[in-house]
Amino acid sequence: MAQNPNQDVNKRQLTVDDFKNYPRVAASVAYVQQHPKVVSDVLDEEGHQYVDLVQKGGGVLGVALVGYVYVLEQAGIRFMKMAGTSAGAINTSLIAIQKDKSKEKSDYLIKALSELDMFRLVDGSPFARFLIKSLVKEPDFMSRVSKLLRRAAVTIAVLLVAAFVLLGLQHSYPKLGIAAFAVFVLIGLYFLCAGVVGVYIASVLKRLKEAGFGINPGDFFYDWVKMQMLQHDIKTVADLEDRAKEVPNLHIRTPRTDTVDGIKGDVVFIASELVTQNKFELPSMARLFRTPDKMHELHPAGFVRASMSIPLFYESYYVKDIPVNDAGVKQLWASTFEVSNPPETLRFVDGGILSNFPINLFFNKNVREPRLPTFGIDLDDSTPEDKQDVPENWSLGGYLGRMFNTVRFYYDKAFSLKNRVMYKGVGKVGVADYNWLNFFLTNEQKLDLFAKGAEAAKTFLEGFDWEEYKRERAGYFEERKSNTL
Amino acid sequence: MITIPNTGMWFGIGFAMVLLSSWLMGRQSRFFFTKDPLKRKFSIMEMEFPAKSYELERLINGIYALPDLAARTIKALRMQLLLDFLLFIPAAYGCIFLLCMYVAGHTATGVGAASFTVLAWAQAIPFVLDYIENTYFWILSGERDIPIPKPNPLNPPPVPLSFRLMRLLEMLKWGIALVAAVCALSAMAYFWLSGKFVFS
Repeated sequence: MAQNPNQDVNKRQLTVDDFKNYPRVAASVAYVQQHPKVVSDVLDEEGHQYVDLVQKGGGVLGVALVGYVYVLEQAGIRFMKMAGTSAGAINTSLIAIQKDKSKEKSDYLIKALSELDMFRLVDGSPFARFLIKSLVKEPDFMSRVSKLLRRAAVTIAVLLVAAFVLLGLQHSYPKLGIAAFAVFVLIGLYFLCAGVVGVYIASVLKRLKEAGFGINPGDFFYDWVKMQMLQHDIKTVADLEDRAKEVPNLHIRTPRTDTVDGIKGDVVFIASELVTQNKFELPSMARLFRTPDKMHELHPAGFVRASMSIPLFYESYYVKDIPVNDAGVKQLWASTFEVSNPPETLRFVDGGILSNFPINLFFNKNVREPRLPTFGIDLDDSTPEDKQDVPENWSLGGYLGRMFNTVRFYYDKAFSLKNRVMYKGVGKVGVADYNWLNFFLTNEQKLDLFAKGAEAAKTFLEGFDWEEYKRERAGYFEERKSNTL
Repeated sequence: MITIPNTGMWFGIGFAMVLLSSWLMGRQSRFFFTKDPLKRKFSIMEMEFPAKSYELERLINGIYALPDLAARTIKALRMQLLLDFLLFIPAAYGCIFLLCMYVAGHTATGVGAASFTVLAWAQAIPFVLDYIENTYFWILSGERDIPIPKPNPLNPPPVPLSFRLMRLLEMLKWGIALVAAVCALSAMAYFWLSGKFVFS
């Protein structure tokens, strides 16, 4: 059905054109098309330039990743190897499942995004949905809750005092006996309500424990990714790996004399595993879960689901029935993680707790002059105030949050500090205005986030210099070589 | 107004039956296991208050997904339902009925007496609903591989009528019984503290 473009954008279903024709997006596309850039030495027959792409995790901020990818594609860039964590894994999967790397992938991404009601990703109990919605949408929700608790305390205090007073006075004023009786009944009903609320909260907490400490099962998300994969004939892990490996006819930019030999596609989703306490790169590490003849039991949608299992927000993702007695599987566990007795069940949570921006994946320290760069999309949700908070004034929550973030970001940070050259290919999207768990984005906000991604891609391409990138990589290579010697 | 002779004695017998049946049912619940997604214990309250549609069906399917424990779980579940049928339901609602009738008989105002009489006779509703619920659980627990519709992410199926009816049933059952019990106990507390308590 045709949609009226003048209708309030928040009251109708977004279309692909809404995203593409958004003025800030259109301006970014126009700029990159008018200022073509050399970004890689690997080209296909149509002249598209190839890069490896790493996308950072960030909940709903992933909308900005789509905008970024869209502008890169409009600049004639295509993607060879791809990796991502959490939201980055979702985008990565939706690009990787599509046939023919030389074709644009972002139309499909934008279509999927415009058709997706993000709140459906919050598929927990009605109470969980209410709580998440309230916490995210109403900044003063907690103060409202504390006000409500104060009022409840005052109410019961008043009722108890009234009961006490009326009980005494009714001997002198018998008519007050009816009021005292009513107050007693009200006290009883008050405690009934409090009890029902208490029992409900206790049952929610119990369910939380039984559900692997996740408020939402994440079933909708799994089914949604699975549906997207099935639409592209991806039914098994092998289907996904084969699709990711496909490469069109490539050649190297002249005057380079090396070849495109060895260049192939790949797809990697990062997930954190809690039983063996390891970082998993999926689907390549799926061989640790199944023997080749049983690999069909796993659906690759599960790997994306594992990568985005935000702790507490989503239930953990389990991989069960690992053939622990199979010699091949055992040997693989030993050689990969030095685990001699692999567990039968693995429990995955969001890869972001270990590596939210796995830019290290495609870095080959033995390469002096890369044929294609690794591009990274970094979602930056920090505000200037974050760095200016007086440490002595942090609340307990703030203190714990800082501690958790220090641990979870340091893995990627340590790599970037040692290999600064890799950051030459990284563009930052400033998304500090948005909460990464705001699954209730209005259409206007979705368009804004998308445009932020598009603008960030334009800014990145503006500043990117492929020759300088290669020079720095060569310098870095020589420096490492001399240090080794 | 019906006056029930020996209310205290009947209440005592009923309350003892409630305690006994609760203890016996608690013993049975030790054997309740389902697979969701791993083996775990469950309680009858989870069956009464499924958070989402098809959760009850998933729980039952989960019982049969544990071949070594399924027979024991189903036996314990049915034993608990049987105890509920024969002991707990008549005793619990009977006690609430007696309490409300007692308060109605000792309330000074006509409105109060009428309200408590209504609450007392209203126990017939949760009484019947509880039997319906237990019969439903009994039948459902005998079914293996209950079909659960495949989710369609873009076109979710509507919430099934059975789930909505179940929710209404639980709200009515628990709501009527709890309001009556709490109001009657509050009134009894008032009688006790004001010195108007009469043991009959």
